[in-house]
Amino acid sequence: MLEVVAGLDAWAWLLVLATAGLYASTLVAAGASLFRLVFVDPALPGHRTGCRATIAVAAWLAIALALLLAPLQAGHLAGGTLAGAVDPVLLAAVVETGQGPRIALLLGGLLLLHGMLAGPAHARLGQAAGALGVALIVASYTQVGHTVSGEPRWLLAGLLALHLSAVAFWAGALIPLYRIVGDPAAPQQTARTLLRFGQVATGVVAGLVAAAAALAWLLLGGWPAWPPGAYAQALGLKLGLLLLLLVCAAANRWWLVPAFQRAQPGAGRRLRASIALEALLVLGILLVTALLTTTLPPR
Amino acid sequence: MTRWKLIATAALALQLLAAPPSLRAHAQPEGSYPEHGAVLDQRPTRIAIWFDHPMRLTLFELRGPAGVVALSARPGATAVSRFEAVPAAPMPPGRYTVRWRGLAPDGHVMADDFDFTLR
Repeated sequence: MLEVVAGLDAWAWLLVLATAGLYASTLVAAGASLFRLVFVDPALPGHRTGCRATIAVAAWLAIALALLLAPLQAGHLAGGTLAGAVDPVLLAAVVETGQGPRIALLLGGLLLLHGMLAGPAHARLGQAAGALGVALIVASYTQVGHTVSGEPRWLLAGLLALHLSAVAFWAGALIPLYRIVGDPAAPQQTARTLLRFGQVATGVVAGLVAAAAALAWLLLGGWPAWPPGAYAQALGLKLGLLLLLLVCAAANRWWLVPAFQRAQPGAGRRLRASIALEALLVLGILLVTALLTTTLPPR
Repeated sequence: MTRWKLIATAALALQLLAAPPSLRAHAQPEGSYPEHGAVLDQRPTRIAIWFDHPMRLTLFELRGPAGVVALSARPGATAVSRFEAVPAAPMPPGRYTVRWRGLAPDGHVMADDFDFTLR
């Protein structure tokens, strides 16, 4: 894997970083929408989750990156040149694959997420639009990549959709959770939200891990050969980071959140630090995922 | 409509949208001429690469000690299972690298290179 990574040119790195940024921004936008849908009642005055601002900023960042994706890929196909990025023949070649439907679904979903910003008068309609937006965003990721080229594709696409929905739910909750833990205005409501999140997240994380394991098994075709190739090495790195993330989440669920609920001194600060560490690990996982999906074929 | 009904409806929509309409192959390189790492006593009569599924090649470039070597053919607009070209310029002894990029039908951008040495 290191050999492949060391061989990447500047344009390939740009493509990897833009892809990782697109993953992060879409997951945060979709996940904050799910958080608002499940844990925030817009009719009630509550604690400041920052969900609306998070959704708006992340969605527009994702829209900008989604629009850049085809030119970046075209430039990469031309050997890392700006001329390739604006070459209509190469741009058409990129869009004619699954990238065209992927970008269209992604843009549609990101625009629909703005329904989540609707005020109490149109909250239900806005929530319906937001929920459909999340579905479109997750579906967009099933249009390209390794799950499209494998069989059985219904199973692969379904597993990827389940995996991504769970990742969005988890990753997108980190910013709202970080904000409410630091908000002294409504500690009881914060404690209730943390408890509910922990209950729902336990099942979500189990689904995420099960779907990831099944996908890895199907894509690699069983246990990887030894020594593992670059793709399997990157998957192993992703798995290692995921294990660290699970340790963090378990510490939150069974140690830091109960301490916060008992109002122990310093519990809020420790919980926020743990949530920030989770966010860093998620970013690391997304960077490895971008490397996997843009540069490394499964062998 | 409760929020859980909303989520269930969205999940149903997702199930309908998620599956791609058709299988799009993921092409992999199967071999090249010269082979990666080969040492040749004579200049190669052709430079070639072949894949397990058709690949839309977008770049195929031979670079040696004197820079880019002109080739007799360039990748076209259609996907191919095999591409080959004849070096159309002098090739002094040294190490040569063939850099290629391609687009697999599943949308995966492929990039790789192979080297050989001419004595």
